[in-house]
Amino acid sequence: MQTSDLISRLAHEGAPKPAPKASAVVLRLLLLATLYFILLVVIHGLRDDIGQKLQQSLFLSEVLLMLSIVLLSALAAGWLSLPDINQKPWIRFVPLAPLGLFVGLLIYGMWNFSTLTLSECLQLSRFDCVVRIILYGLLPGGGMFYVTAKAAPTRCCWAGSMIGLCVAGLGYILLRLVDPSDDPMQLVVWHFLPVMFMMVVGMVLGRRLLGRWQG
Amino acid sequence: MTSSPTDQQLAEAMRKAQAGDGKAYHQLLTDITPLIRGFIYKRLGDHNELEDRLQDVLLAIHRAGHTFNSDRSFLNWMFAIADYKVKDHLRSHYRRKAAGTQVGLEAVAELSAPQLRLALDDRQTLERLLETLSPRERTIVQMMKIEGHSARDVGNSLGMSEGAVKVVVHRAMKTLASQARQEDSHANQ
Repeated sequence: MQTSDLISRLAHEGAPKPAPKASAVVLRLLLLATLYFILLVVIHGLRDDIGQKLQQSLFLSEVLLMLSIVLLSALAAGWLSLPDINQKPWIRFVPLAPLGLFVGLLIYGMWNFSTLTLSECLQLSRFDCVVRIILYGLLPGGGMFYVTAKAAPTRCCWAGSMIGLCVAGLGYILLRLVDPSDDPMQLVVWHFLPVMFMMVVGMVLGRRLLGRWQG
Repeated sequence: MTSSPTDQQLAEAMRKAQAGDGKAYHQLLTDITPLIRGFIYKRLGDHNELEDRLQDVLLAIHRAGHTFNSDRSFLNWMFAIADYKVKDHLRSHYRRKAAGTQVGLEAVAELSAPQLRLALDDRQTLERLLETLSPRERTIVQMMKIEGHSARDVGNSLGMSEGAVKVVVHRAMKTLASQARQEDSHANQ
């Protein structure tokens, strides 16, 4: 087919109408995720000592840091759904700053407050935490992947990994609010590593699913 | 000699196109074609697939048109898409090369040329040649060239535009022609 013919056909089909801005879409998704999150909290019930825990600076810092990771990774995923992310290339690195602080906080907790060794922690076999983080993230993750695939991402691995980080982070916060496990070693092995795993899964899925540009 | 349209002019044309102005969209696509062709030429050289890659990029720009916001630079958006499609093509190219299915691209009409002599049964050869295509290309070639459906019908059933179907079948036929020629040269040795 001649290029001029293709141009005529595309012009005949007409240019697609502009989609809502990335920030508006991200806000909408976060609102939906918050409602879903609240529903899960209601279903599970908050941990008995939640009032006491929220007064502990370390617990509060941990939850707020993870919340900032969730918000920033959602923002990054929104921008990464656009083809011209190179206009703000730094945005995809923004969630990594609080993530680094979070890792530091966990390591600090492990060195100073952990009562379990690594082998003892592994023997706990808290696979239920891993499964819950993955399952909690399926619905919002699926929604975010769907919305991102309708856009035109050019950094598909980054977009997928940000989606994985966002939804797994929500799962982490939920577990901290409903599950009484507090030992830092346990948090690292059975809560945080699954979050990293979901980030990698998101990267792999992003590479496979986000590059097709269905429009 | 007319000067190249500015970024702002292109953004304004795209804004009009998104508002439903078909003529503005046609002019916009015409204006950006030489820019994209030059961009692809710098990356792939004087390539016999240049027009195919150009059409891939124009299709991608059409499909991703809803992501353009007139607050941002049109040229940056356009070249980001072009860059992505060129890299995507190169990834596929090297993947095919590594898998040993690299083919050159020649004229389409030779596929049905009567002077083409094949050592094997035609149906077997045809099936073998079709296996070298991607699943999407194979489906479209079977529907259009063997079953006789129109490009519009194929596009409707596969959720693609008529233009996109024609681009895919054009490329697939080139691949088949080249494969058939290779088989012919092996048969004559």
